[in-house]
Amino acid sequence: MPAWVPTFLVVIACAVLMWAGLEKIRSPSSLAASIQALGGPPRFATIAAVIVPVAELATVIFVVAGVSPYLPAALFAVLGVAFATAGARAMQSRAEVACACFGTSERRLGWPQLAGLPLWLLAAWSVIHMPAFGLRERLGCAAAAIVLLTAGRAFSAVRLGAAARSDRRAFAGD
Amino acid sequence: MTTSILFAVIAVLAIGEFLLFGALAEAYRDIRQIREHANVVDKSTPVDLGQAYNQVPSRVGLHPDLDSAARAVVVYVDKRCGTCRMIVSSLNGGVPRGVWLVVIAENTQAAHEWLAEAAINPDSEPGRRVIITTPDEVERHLGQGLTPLAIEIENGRLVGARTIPSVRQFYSMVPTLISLSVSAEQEASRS
Repeated sequence: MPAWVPTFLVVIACAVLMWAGLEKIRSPSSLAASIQALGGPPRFATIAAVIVPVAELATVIFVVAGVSPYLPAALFAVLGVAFATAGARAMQSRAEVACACFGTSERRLGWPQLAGLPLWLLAAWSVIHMPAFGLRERLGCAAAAIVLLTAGRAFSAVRLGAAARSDRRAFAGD
Repeated sequence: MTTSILFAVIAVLAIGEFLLFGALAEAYRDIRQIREHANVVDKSTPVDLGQAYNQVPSRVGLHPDLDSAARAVVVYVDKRCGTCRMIVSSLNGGVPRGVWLVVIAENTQAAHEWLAEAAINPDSEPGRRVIITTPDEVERHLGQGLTPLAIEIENGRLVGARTIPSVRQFYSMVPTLISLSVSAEQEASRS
C-alpha cells in the first residue's frame, strides 16, 4: 500500500474529529441531551458531553504533537466504538435521538454511526502505519486543514446571512 | 522552528475563526426560527380554494377576459393590510403583464384614491386589469377574505391560490407565459 494512503486517512479522520470536537465544545448541551435521550443519567450525560469533545480534540493534538501513535490509535478506536454503541442503542430503542455529532446537528443517530466503526478502526490502523513526519510538516498540515474547515464554516455563515438579509428586505425594505 | 510557530499561530487563529463563524451561523439559524415562529418568513403558502377551485373566473366575480386566459394571476389586495400597501406602492403606475389586481374596498371612491396614490390610472392599460370589489363580494365568492392572496388561473380555470408574504413574492408570481387572447375592449377598439 502506498505510504500516502494511511497519511491521507489520518488527515481526513483528524479533520472530522477537529470539526466535531469544536462544534461540541461550542454547544455542549446538544450532546448531553442526546446522551440523556439514550437513557444516560443526567450527571453522566453532563460529564460525557465534556469528555467526548475533549477526547476528539486530544486525538488530533496527539497526532500533530507526534506522541506514540498507539495513543491516538487507541482514542480513534474508543471513539469509534462509543459512536457505534450510541447508534446501535438508538436503533435498538427505536427512539429518534438527535445525533449531536457536530453540535446542533439535526441528523438522527442510527446506522451511519454503526457503519462508521470500520472507518474509525481503519484510522486507528493508519495512524500506526503512516510514515513519520517532522513537527513542521504535521503542524503545516493541521493548519491547512483547520483553515479549510474555517473557510467551509465561513461560507455557510455568509450563505445563511444572505438568506436572513433577503428575508428582512422582503418585509422591511432596504 | 519559526515556521512551526507560524503554523501553530495560524492553526490557533483559524480555530478561533471557526468558532466565531459557527456562532454567527447559529445566530442566523436562531433568527430564522424566531421568524418562522412569528410567521414572518418570506415563504408563500398554499390556500384552499374550496368550492371556487376549477371554476370559471367570471363566476367568482372576476373579469370575463380571464375566462379565456391561458395563464394569469389575480392578486387580492386590501388597504387595511400592510403587505398589500407595500405591493401596491411598489407598482408605481404599472401592473405586471399577466397580473390582475382585485382591490377590496368599501366603495369605489376609496379604491380609486388608493390606486391614485400608486399612480395607477383606471383608464390606462394597467388600470384596465384592476377590479374593484367589496369585502362581502369576496367573502361570498371565495368564502374567505384573506389578503394579499394570489389566485392562479390556467386555461380559464382557477387552479390554485397562495398567500403573498412580501413584495418579492408578489413579483415572483408574475406568470412567464401570458394569455394572448384579446379582450372584448381591445377587439372593439380594433374594429
